[in-house]
Amino acid sequence: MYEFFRDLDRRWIFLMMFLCVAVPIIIIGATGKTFPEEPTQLVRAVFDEIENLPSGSKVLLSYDYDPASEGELAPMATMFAYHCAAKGHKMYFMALWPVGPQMVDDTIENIIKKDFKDLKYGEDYVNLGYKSGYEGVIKVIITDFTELYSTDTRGTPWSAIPMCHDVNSVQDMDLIVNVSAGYAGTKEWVQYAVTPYPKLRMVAGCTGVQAPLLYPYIPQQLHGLLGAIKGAAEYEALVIEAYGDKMARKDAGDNPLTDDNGDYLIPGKYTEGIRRMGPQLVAHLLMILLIIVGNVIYFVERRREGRR
Amino acid sequence: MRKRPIRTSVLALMWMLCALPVVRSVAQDGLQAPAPPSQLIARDRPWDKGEKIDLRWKLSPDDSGTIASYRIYRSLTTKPAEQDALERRIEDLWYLFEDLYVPMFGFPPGWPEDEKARYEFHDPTPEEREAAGTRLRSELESLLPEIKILAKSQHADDYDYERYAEAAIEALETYLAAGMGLVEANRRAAAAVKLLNHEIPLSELQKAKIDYENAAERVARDAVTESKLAGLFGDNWKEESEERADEIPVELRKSLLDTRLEAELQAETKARREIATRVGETRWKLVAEVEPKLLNIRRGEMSYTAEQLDRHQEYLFKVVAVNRAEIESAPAIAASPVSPDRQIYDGNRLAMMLVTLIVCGAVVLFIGIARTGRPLKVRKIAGLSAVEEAVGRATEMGRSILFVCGIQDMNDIQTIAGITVLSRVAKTAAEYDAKIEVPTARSLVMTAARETVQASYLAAGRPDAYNEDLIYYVTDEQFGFVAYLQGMMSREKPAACFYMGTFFAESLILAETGNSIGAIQIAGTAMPAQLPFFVAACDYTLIGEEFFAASAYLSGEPDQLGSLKGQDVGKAVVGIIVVLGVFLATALSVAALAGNEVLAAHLEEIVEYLQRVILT
Amino acid sequence: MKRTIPLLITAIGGFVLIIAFFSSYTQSWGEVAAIWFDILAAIAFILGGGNLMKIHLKKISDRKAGWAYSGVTLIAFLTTLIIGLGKIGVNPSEQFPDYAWSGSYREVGGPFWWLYEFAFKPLTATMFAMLAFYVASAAFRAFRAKNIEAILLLGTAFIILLGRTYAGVWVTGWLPEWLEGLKLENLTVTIMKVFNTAGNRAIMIGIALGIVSTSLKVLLGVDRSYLGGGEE
Repeated sequence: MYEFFRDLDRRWIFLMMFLCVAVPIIIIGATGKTFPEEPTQLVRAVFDEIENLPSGSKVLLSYDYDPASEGELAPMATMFAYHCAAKGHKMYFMALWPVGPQMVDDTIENIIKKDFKDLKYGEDYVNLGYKSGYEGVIKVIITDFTELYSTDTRGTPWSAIPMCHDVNSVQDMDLIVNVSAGYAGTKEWVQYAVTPYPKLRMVAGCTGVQAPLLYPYIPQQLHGLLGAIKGAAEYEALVIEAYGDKMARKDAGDNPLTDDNGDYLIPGKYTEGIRRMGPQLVAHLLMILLIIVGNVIYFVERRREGRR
Repeated sequence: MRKRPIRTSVLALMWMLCALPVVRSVAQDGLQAPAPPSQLIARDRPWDKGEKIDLRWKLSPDDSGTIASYRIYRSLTTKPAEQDALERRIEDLWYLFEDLYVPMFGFPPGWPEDEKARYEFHDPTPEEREAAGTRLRSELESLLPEIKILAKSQHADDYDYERYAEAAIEALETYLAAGMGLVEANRRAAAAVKLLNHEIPLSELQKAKIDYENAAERVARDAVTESKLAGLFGDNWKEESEERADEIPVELRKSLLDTRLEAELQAETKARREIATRVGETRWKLVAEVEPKLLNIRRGEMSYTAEQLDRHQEYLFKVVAVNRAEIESAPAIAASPVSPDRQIYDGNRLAMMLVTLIVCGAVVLFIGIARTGRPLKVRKIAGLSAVEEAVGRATEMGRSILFVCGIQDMNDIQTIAGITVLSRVAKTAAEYDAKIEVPTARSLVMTAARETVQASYLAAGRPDAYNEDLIYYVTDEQFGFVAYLQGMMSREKPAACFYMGTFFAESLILAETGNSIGAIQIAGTAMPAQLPFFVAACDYTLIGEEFFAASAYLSGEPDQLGSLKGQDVGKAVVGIIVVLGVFLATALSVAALAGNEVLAAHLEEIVEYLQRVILT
Repeated sequence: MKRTIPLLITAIGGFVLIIAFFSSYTQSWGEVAAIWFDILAAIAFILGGGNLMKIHLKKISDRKAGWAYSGVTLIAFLTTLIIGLGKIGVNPSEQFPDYAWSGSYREVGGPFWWLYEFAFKPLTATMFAMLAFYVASAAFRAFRAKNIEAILLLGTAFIILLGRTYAGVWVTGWLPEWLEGLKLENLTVTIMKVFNTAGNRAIMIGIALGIVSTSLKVLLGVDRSYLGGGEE
């Protein structure tokens, strides 16, 4: 047994990890049961920033991630868009990553076009698309959008987009929402947008790896932060609490459906984060187990060496 | 452009409506207004980008607890181009209106004689009128959003476009209604009153209204018109005339319109004159509301810096004291308008410049000292001492060395640092006759790496052994690059792997793959998020600054080692600032806890100065 | 000469931009320089593409080990390039229906979109997801309680791992209100905010100073190794 673990082929670990992720996904998918979420202060701050803005405020949503990190970041991106749309904010989508516009398109297709059919492109939301230059883009649009964004992603000139008429630069935004998977992302937005223009408000969602690096900016430069899936799950819980009736599946009479406990039946796309906490829990437990096993082996080994 | 008094006057009227003052300072319900602040001085902020003005004023004599705050107002800037555009649009609409209106309802008063020939006057049929009305309305509606957009554009806070547009639309709708045959002589006046209502005190409004209503001429003319209408429709002439508007003869309709227009103009001109004399033409914008602090009250004066101003404009400032009942005092107005000037040097960056000079100066100084031949001691960095071991092992095993310069381009300083390390590693490899392979994620990095490795081979005396095909571009795509590296590592099993540069999520994938093939791995990066992964999976990791020191360390040149010493001075500066900051923050908390308000206020001022001025 | 001119360009460019940073009139020069770099980097794509073709064609012609992979790479590269550049299968945009190439290259349902959606997206997501497996194996191998520091690190890791899931609530949910701060989810936040921030700041300050020193070495020409061959 000891020898087996000492010389454990890492493929066994891979298999265990696979099972720890796959099995909870299947179970949650079949039963629909999830863990409850208790939102932390930072997540509440993100929610409040969006919630406390008056309806019709201008929100810049910069989706700086790619398909690779979509699994981790798409749930919060979805929720940001839903929350802004439900609150009636004007949404300006953009991206600092080349594949960011696709992420924006996905969100627009799945959320805005399906659940907010009365929102009009160009009046309530616009996809400004990607511009190359990473933080250079921020440095330019912080004083003038049109220097880089002469058109939106569909080729509509800036001047022909009604919701852009009263926007000259990022400084005209009431809030910046950034979903970031790395460089260029939240750190650059903080450094080149919020730091030189402290009146700007900003919240962000980022990958778990990045989160520790962003804590130094909270709360002066970054007013709220969602860290990885856990942050997304807590944020989902808050948005569901506030907009559950709107979000829930509807019956023929357009009334929200509830389950046996009286909770709203929320479509799966809005609970992606909460549902992913299941596999995350089991995977974390596996990690702890592996670390313990690894240490037991280490101590046994050391004792044996000591005897020799 | 055609000149028509009516259009000009209506535009003037609209202008007047939006040029009314925002400020209202009236004592209410017997509550006393506080005494005003005094001696407001507005001065251009020296050494800035031309967007700030410093204000300083003496506090209100009442300020011993009764003043809640001071409100700072600045004058609004002059009319920008957008407003001209809006005016033109409204004017265009006005032309259209005329073109539809005149043929049916005759010429409004003061219509230029030479213009009259353009129109063929006739009594329209109800269908014609209906059609014209519908068209005008639809044109108006289609223009409405545009006007509103313009209204909200750029300087929306400075120019009350929305109200301006509303006034314009209101006016147009009234005329439209008139064109449709509605007899509601007071409507326009009511609309004007409604608009004015937001602007000026009730007393003035009432005056304007009385002026309007008392206009003798209007009353006389109205009486004639009304009696004519009463003759036509009987006692219920008001309602009847609206319903049976078609039956009103053209001439009577014309006189109805004339009466109203003239009376309105009279009243509005009067109101405008009065308002102008009362508050002047200056419109104000609230810039900030600041609370006097303990130290301000002790010193009897306060200061504020107005920001985000346009250096092409002149600004007049005024400050009013506000007491706890929200009553404003009379204003202290700055003697003359000021305009922010742009200076060559941006003083906001003074602190930054000092730090730059100290740190850079220290680096240059120590490079100079090193050149004099004084020995400099640099601590041993295990990861770098292992370079030779790693290259040697690769040579012994007859396998290659893999060197990855991160996944960013040449504009990233980490990539440059990676390439400088590459030059040392390549030189060692050339000396040992080991094969070094450098896949890159950017083509510019490939070019630079080729030059560097070639130079190293040359320096090692082995130019013939250099093979440029071993330094090649793979893909810019992060995970595509990693996938290639993983495959390549599994197949070719390099004996030593160097990861030196900017890495993101791929760090662990690379390091674990390297670990699984048993390669000796040395990583160096300044990406704090990736350091734990490298530390866990590599044999040696250069953490942050060690990575930047690597090139100097490996070269052993005194010049380069001197630069490392210079860094230490930077650290000392940072250390002093950190200690100072911690001391001040702690002292502030202690003073506040101990109840020493004056000391706390002084400390707070220093901390604020450090945070807002020095550190931004 | 080969090194002198680039060194002069570097030094002049670098110092001019540093000075420009402190003047109100020239603060935007840095952005202009960044745009110049973008243009250069974009042109360098051609260089990269050419090199990719050369290396892989050579591998195929030499029948080197793994040449089939090179074939796959080249086919994938050319297919994506031609479909993307040629906007193959893309309908003209609604605004300009008369112009053949006016549609978006990533139109939903188009071949490029298809490649993105069904090849690129799953492939990159797979690569990223591999991290989960590697983290587990690295933790198993490297997390050893060798000394006091390592034990502290282990303890912190357990708190964070539990605190970032519902397990944290299970384990310490029973704690009374006055011990709220000891609940795992709150401990996680404290560790991240206080200890992690302190450590990170120190590393970041060191890195910033390292960057200053490295940049100066480059600008002053003390370290010229990145410039490559040819003495003066």
